[in-house]
Amino acid sequence: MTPLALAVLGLPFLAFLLLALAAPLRRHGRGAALVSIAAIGGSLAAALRLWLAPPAETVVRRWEWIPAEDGPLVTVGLYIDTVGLAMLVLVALVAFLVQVYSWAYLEGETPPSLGRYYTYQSLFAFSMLGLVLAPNFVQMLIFWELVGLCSYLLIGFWYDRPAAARAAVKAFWTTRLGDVGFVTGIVLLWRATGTFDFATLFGAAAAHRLPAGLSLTMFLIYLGAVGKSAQFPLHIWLPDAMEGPTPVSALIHAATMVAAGVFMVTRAFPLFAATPPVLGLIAWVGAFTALLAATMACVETDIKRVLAYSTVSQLGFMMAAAGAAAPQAAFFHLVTHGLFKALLFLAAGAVIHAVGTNDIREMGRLFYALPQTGTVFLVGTLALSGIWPLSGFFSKEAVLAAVWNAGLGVPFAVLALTALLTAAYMFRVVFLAFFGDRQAGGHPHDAPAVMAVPLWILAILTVAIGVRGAFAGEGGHSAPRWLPALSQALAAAGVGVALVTYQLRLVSPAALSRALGPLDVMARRRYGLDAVAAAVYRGLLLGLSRLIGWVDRYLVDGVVNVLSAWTLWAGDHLRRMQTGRAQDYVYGVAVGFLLLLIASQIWR
Amino acid sequence: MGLRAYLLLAAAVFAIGLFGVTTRRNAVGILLGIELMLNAVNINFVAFARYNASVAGMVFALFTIAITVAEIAVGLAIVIAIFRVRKTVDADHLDLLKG
Amino acid sequence: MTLEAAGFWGLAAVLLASSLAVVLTRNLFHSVLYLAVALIATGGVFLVLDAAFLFGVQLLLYAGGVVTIVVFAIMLTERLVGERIRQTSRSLVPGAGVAVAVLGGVCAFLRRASLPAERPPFPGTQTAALGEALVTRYVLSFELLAVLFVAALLGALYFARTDD
Repeated sequence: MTPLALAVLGLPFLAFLLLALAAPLRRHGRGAALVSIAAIGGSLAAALRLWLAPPAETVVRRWEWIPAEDGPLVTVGLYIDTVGLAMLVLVALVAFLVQVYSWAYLEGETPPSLGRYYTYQSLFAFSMLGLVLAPNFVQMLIFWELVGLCSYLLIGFWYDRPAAARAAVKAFWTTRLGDVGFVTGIVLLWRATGTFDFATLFGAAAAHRLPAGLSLTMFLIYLGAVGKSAQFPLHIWLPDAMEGPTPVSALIHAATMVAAGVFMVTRAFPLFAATPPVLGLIAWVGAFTALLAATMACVETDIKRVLAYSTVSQLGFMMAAAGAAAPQAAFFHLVTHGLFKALLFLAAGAVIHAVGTNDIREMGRLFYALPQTGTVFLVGTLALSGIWPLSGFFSKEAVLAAVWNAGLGVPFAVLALTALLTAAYMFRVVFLAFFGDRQAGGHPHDAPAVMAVPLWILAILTVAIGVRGAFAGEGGHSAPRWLPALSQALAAAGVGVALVTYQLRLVSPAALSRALGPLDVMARRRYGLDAVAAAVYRGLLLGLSRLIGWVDRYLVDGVVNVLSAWTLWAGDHLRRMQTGRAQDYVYGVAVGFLLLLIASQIWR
Repeated sequence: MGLRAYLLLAAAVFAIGLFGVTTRRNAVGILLGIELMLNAVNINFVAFARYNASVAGMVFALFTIAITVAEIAVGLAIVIAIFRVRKTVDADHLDLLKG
Repeated sequence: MTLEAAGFWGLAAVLLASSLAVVLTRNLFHSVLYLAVALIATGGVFLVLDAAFLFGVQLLLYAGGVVTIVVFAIMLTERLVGERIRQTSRSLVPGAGVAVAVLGGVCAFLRRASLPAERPPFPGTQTAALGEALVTRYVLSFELLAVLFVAALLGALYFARTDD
């Protein structure tokens, strides 16, 4: 058990070390790619082996790291349970497929650049796997930050593009903001309970031995998930993160890193369950984020940004399910979403690779030019829209059922509306890019095999999970009888709206946007949230730096200057003692003698 | 009358000598003041020698006289040398050590 | 009043008066002469204290030799020929203040100390005791004194020589 887990974690790390230290190998490009792919492949194999033969109960292995008086302060180790194993397989699988895909997608890169890409990919794989396997909050935090670093490095991979560099910094800052809350929450939790360790904490939670008043602490920990999983208001970084290469978007910003926040919430669910107000907040914020992002996706013209907003929206779904006290539903949606969103991103990458532009207004009738890509994109879209019998239907139904059963009426309605919008905007993209009457420019060619195979694997998995769900019967959700019908009706309505507007052109898109008036305008301007964030950032940062500059110049330097000025003044005045005349010095001796006399009298 | 009287006398002469050292401007005048101070010290020594029936005090006094003579000789030689160079023995003008 | 007491008080008066004259006279030459008087008075005090040999030494070395040297020095360091040898003083008050304070301190100390009032008898003469002590107990210092004189002589010669 432990050696396999260490292999899962260690292989990408060794690949990273090798590529980081052996510069000639890294500069070779293709050689680095092979090393990285081999490592992640081995990792995937080990993860599969573990997942297919899971342990009966949770396995925890710890090694002491930071010592303290009674027992170690912090340990490092492994925490292996079924949820974790499923996540390991997801991460390793998507990472492996993305790395293979990148071989062809980044063929235009210079070899040193390619080597750098694969080094970062290996580091990211190691970080994400370490996060999943973390047995305590400190180790999770370390890998959390590492994952954030990899996100920065990979978003800004094409660092000579100013937009990419800005997006990388924005992503880092925004997630960092959430991480401040995360760290504070972890420390407060330690102060209240005395431990960082998951097993200990969950045991205490199960036995109702947790101290009271943990709401603030768990809220702060949730803030970390807000940043990482792009919940409102820290969602602003995810659309801009699309400046990175598409495989990176597929891996990090669809399937794995952004899912880390949801994963953390589901992992630490016993602790969240002890603070119902925080859970309620999670559900409401999740639902609101879902709707907000869906409205913004409806008016986006960049295919990757549509998918990015879609990711934010679906993350809101997952968080809502977690907040509705159904972490299993959240995790289920996490897995299915990871697969079909990665599929959608990779397919979009194939389209971009073929057509040379991200703008869907310049695409059309691509289904006939790129049949494979079109097919898998359609599979992904159907799954995302929640059409039976694909995987997305079952996971979305689980989420909706959980929210309904928790009695959260308004979030349920919000999520239902979002489901309709999801279908609408996804099929908008499908109709505009793959069908329609206008032919796209250029000479689009279908994806090469190296890119196509990962696409097909993901598509098959999406279908397979769905079909298995259909036949195995995902019972035990106690969903209301009318829920499947409702979700299908909503999806159909969304498809219908898209069909009518973009394919059949019965209703013109311009008329539709006029009808929706102010909502449309605000959605196009992203509700001004980006501007607000930028203003706050600039204002705070500049204000703080001006204040500190003033303090430094006038107080800190001032103290030193005043001291030196006083020293000089004292020196000038004291120098008058040195007259150079011997008689004055005799005076001094006599006065000193007198003082000694007096002192000796006093001491008597 | 006792020892106390002699000691008071010596203290008075010493104080007068100190006054002379600090107020005289002429370098030779300062040396005269020093002479008085050393004189007072000698009175002290001899008085103690007598009243403690010990000869050590007188030996000290003898040595003091001898050393004072030597000191005066060298000191005056220095004053003459300074006079040759700076053409003055005014102590206020001899302030080369001024900071 | 005993002879000793009368001698002491008389000599004390002369000594104090001449000391004041030394430090207050404007004419430096007169200062030196008053110093001679003070030194002789001190010699007298030594005599009252039964230190006859020291009385002789004082007169010979101090009143004789030192005064002579100082007179020569004054001759060599003043521009004579028609010019009165003047002596101006610096401000007197701080100097007087310090001197009085020192005197006061010492007196305060003396008042508290317990000092013998009677003279103990002295075995033999002081001169014999002095001579004996010089060549037995203090012989090393005595010899070193000779070395000191040589050094002083050489130093004085060196400093006072003209530069040819």
